[in-house]
Amino acid sequence: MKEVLAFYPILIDGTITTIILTVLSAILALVISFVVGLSRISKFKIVRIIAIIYLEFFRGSSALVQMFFIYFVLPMWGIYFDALTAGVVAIGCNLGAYGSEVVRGGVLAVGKEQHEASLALNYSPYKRYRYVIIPQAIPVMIPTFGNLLIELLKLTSVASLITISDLTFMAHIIRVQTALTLEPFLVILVIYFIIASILVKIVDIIANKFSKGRNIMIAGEN
Amino acid sequence: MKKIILFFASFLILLGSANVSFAESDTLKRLKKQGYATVAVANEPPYSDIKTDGYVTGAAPDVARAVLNILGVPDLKAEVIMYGAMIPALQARRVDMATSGLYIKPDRCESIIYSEPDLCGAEAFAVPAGNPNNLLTYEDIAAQPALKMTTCAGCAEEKYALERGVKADQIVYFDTPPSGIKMLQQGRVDVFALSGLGTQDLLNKTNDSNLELVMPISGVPIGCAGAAFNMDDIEFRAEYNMALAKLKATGEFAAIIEPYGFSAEATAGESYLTRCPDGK
Amino acid sequence: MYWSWEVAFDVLPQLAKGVVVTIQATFVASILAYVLGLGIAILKMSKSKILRFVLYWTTEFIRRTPILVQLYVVFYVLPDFGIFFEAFTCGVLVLGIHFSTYTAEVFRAGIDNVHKGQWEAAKSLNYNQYQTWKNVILPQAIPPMIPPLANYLITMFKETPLLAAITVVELFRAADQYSNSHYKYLEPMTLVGVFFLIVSIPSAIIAMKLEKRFKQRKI
Repeated sequence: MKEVLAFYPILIDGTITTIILTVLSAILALVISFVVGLSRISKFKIVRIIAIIYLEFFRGSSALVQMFFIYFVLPMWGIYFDALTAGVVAIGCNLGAYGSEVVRGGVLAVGKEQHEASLALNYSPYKRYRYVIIPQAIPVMIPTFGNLLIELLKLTSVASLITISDLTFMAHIIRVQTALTLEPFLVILVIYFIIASILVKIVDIIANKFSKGRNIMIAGEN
Repeated sequence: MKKIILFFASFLILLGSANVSFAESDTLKRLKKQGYATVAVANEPPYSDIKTDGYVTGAAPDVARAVLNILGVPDLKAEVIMYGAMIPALQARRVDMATSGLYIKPDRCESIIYSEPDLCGAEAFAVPAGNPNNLLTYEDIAAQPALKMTTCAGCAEEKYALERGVKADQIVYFDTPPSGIKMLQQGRVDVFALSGLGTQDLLNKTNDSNLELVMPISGVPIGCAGAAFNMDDIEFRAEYNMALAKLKATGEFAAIIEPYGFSAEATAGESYLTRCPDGK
Repeated sequence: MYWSWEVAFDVLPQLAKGVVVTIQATFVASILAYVLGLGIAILKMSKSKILRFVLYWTTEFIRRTPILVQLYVVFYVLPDFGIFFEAFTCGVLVLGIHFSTYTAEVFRAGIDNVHKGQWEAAKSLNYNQYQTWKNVILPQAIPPMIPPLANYLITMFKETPLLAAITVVELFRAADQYSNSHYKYLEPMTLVGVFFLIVSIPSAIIAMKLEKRFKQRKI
């Protein structure tokens, strides 16, 4: 174990890369979730169709396959992403698809009367969504987003397979240098657990802040 | 008078443009400007080695560093990439060059170009102590179809095995060499194949008396590795070769690789021209 | 780089073999996830605080850490402690256990949804635990749980490529091995992606139909 801990600079590097990967992918996923989720309930059929195609494509295939495709195959068509970008794009697109369902569910869960009231107040659709619907939808979405965030963190370890120097990758490097196997994996398992637990706590705090004074029935799975 | 001046002017221009082929390649210019080259390494000691603080060393990176120094590029940034992914990385120009034991093989020459060989060595197996299946060559493995061997995907050893009759489903691929040794220790495979010095280094670190080294393996060519470049970097490769030759001539080359266990004479008689078809 | 049908047909046999392994792994892992998940859910209803504490943190540890690393540990490390499994078994075990932590939540929610009155009625009829579960609780709890459980089946199917990391030659690894040996990446990867799509999309449609059919009826 001492030999493994001696490699702490590499472990720190790996942890930082994992965190950066998580944060960047999460931002991308969040943006995609809203864009695609809201597109799914658009009044324009073509927008709805494009959104459904995106959803089924990225939700219906394996994240690892998507990553490999972006990293190894796209270059053959002249589209070069460096490893980190490829990882962020793959993870972001993949979880954005799942997130879009959460957004759609959250928005649909807002009672019809809210739409009617905003119409009575002569709100434009933009105003209606921005000031009435979405703010009420968000507290419902947060717990499930929290779950997706943990999934995102776990997915970053798969990025090690396209040579991103994340925590899992660093564990392999330490294995080659020390010929130990249990200790490197044990150490990174604990690190992942700590990061995940911190994320869970942060999401809890955010969820609390957003549901202050609300009586929210959390509908949906899980 | 005007005609003569015109004549001389055009002559000088021609002379000047002829000099372009003696000037630096674009790649070298770019590397000198940014002050470092990005190099793909595989983390297979002693070909390449990563220290606790992340500093990349080992026979291949050290040679590359010295050569790049001669060319005026002071620093080296290493990317750890598995062998199977090195060629796509070069083709996509994610890295400027690859080193660390990428053997020069004809089929690879179709996708990338090599420098002169820098590290040559024999092949080896790791087997259970006592070599119960009596494996001394790849043909021995092929002769016992029930046996399983492990090596890395896209590695020279994989090709050697398949060329000598080992069946595809006898081969289990490891993702990183220690995993392969683990599989050997656990009996998931019967033999582990990798470069001679790489296998030796792993077995030394693993320090398991139930394992044994078989080296050299007869019936396979001496594996010579060279630095690899993107196919378009022909001029850069020429510059690299010149600097490498200088390094060899001053004896510094030998001084770098011999502490790792490599032999400078082994590379002396080799040239990428003999290993790559069509003089690529 | 253009598509080469020659390469596509060349890699197809290997991919077909991989598909069989993928389907087998999905099937076995799901059964394990369902059975284990149900067990965990029932155990979590125990009166013992210690048991619940241990179960909670164990399942959280499994759920918050990457499947990939768990696979590595079971495959490479456990044998050092005398616990040796074949690669396929390792993969199925890890997938099954990992996802049992999710299915346990589905079971728990489903069981909780059964009205308390049902438990009391069963007690007044003098049913023992086994009879209560078998005749009263589970028949009411299970129908609404089917859609999310079906979703997890599809999810596990899409996670099987991870088994490639521990040498299980399922579909993805079959393609990857071909790519590494022949330096051809386009056709194998695309075929793999296509295959996942043609399985997932109809499955998603079936799952939606299931959801409509098992719409929860409150008593």
